Amino acid sequence: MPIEGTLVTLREEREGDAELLTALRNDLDTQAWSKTLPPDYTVPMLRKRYEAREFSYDPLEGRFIVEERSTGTAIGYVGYNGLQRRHSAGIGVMLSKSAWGKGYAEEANELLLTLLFVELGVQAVHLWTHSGNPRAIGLAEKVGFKVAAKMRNAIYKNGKLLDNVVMDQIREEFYARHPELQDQLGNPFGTG
Amino acid sequence: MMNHPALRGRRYLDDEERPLSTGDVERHVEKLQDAKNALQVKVVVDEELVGYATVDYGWDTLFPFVGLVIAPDHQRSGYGSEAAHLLIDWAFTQLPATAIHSWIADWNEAALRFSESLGFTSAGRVRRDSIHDGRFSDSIPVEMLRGEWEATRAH
Repeated sequence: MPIEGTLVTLREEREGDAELLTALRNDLDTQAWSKTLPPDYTVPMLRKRYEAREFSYDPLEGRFIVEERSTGTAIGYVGYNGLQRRHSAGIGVMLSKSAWGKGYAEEANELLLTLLFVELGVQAVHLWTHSGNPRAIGLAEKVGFKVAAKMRNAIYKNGKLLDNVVMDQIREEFYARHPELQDQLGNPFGTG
Repeated sequence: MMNHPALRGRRYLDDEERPLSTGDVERHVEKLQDAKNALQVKVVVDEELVGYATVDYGWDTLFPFVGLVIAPDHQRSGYGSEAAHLLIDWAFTQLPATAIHSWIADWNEAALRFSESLGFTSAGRVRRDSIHDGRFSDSIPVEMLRGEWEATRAH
């Protein structure tokens, strides 16, 4: 069963999503990182990546396609990686530009954070972006992240030297934003 | 050396806290020997191994990561300081680095002071980044810009 929000649904990646993921990867506006250059990714490359995924009871990453609920259209990707079980994970999101400005990314992030804190029981979620992407920083702040570190001159993109911005959100902060949820796990080490 | 209690949590390994078997270390060294986009070196004094170090530019040659571990029995002998200067100079002269960085656990005060003495500055604090001695501990990323390195060389 997919993860249902009000505006969007998160579902598993399917073979037919390769076209969307290729387009997102080749769009310099939806690619935060200069590392993904040049924008010449092909559909077979993305299909191969999809096919390379193997069954596991214990995956350390989660990949989801974001669907617009009203139309059922796939509009982007959200996921986590580098999971340290019951400890931490990093997250990332990319949405088609046509789906920007509608609150979709915010809800997709919130659904993913709920999965990470409430089901996977992590203590902290991290994300990496850069100072040339104020949209990403603003979105992250909206869903409870704080700027944790800024490393200067770390990123070169769009002709500019930018700060690498690390953001984090810890468990207590997530639950403080969600008074409807009760945290029975807390910090197993205690507060000391 | 790798299992020395004083090095636990600061070995720059994926598996920071667990004691390592000889096989673990051998596999790790093999992996280092195959490493692409990284300088992986031993720190040697009079043919004795006293530590190991890395300059990893796999992410971006503009922004390499620098890591240095000196065996506890050989600390406070000036080896770390000399090795660190060699590594930093290597990063800025062999790579087009605009800045270099490292990560230090918040409880590792000696390393934080050492990084400051080399001219690194703190870039912030990433919370609950690792587990050490019964608590989730934070990480302090530290950085040095090329201009800051040039200024230290001018003295």
